[in-house]
Amino acid sequence: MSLSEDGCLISQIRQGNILALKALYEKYKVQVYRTALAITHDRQAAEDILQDCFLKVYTYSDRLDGSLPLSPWLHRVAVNLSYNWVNKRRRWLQPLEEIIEQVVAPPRTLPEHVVETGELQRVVQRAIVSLSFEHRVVVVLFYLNGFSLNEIAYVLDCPVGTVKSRLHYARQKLRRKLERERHLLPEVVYEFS
Amino acid sequence: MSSHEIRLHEDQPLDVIDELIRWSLVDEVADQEPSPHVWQSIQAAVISRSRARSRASRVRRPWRQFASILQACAWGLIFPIEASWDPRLAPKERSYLVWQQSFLLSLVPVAVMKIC
Repeated sequence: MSLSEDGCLISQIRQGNILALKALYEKYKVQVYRTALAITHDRQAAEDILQDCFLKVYTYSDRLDGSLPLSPWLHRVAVNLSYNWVNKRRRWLQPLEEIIEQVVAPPRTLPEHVVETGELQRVVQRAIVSLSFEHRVVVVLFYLNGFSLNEIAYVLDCPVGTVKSRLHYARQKLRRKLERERHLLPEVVYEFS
Repeated sequence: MSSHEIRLHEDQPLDVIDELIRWSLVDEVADQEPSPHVWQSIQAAVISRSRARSRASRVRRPWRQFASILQACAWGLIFPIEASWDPRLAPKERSYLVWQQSFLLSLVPVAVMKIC
């Protein structure tokens, strides 16, 4: 579906056509849902964010520019909603979760067990989750969605230089965290080289 | 090399860590899809909103506002007309006069007696 078709669907939504909204939903639902899921790590939250995104498309269809691509706008809304969710959760749930993790945390994984792919993935995911919200969002938009730095700058409503620096520091932090798991690296090189 | 990798090269060269991050993120959400009830919720919310919107627009129509002004004016006119027709709502001066007249008439016999 081309960009002009998005614009056409938006103009139909303005007239109250719910089928046009459904067509847009079908086109972007997976992309938006996976982005929200990668940021929040919560399926229910990702579904709520997806729902709110498309309700905003309906509500603000008059203000949407049909000539511009819809995907960055949708991701902008999704990131803002994710930010609200993460903030709310941090306020109420994180202290409790940290206590539970300290009490029931498994013993540190031994090097011979870490070589399994599942464990490697969990280590990387933990490292990504441990990033601050700003860094995590940039990482998700860059690596998962494949957005350019300019597109990320639009989504986050900040200068391209800020995106570059956030991406740089996020990669640096991830590198440090993963290098702490030094025993993983030979395995990583083996898998990706 | 994909366009994404070229863009990454603009910032820093692609290395094992980059590939690892991408692989981990993609693999984490690869098979994830939203459940069908999400669209049902959106549809229900949109329908209820459009009903509310049409109700609100009906209320906001200019002729309705004009009608309510007319109604207020009509009540404003009817009340004084009604009041002037209804003897119970007549001005107090009139009732006072009637009372005064009857009071004076009742004094006539006393005055006649005194004169006599």
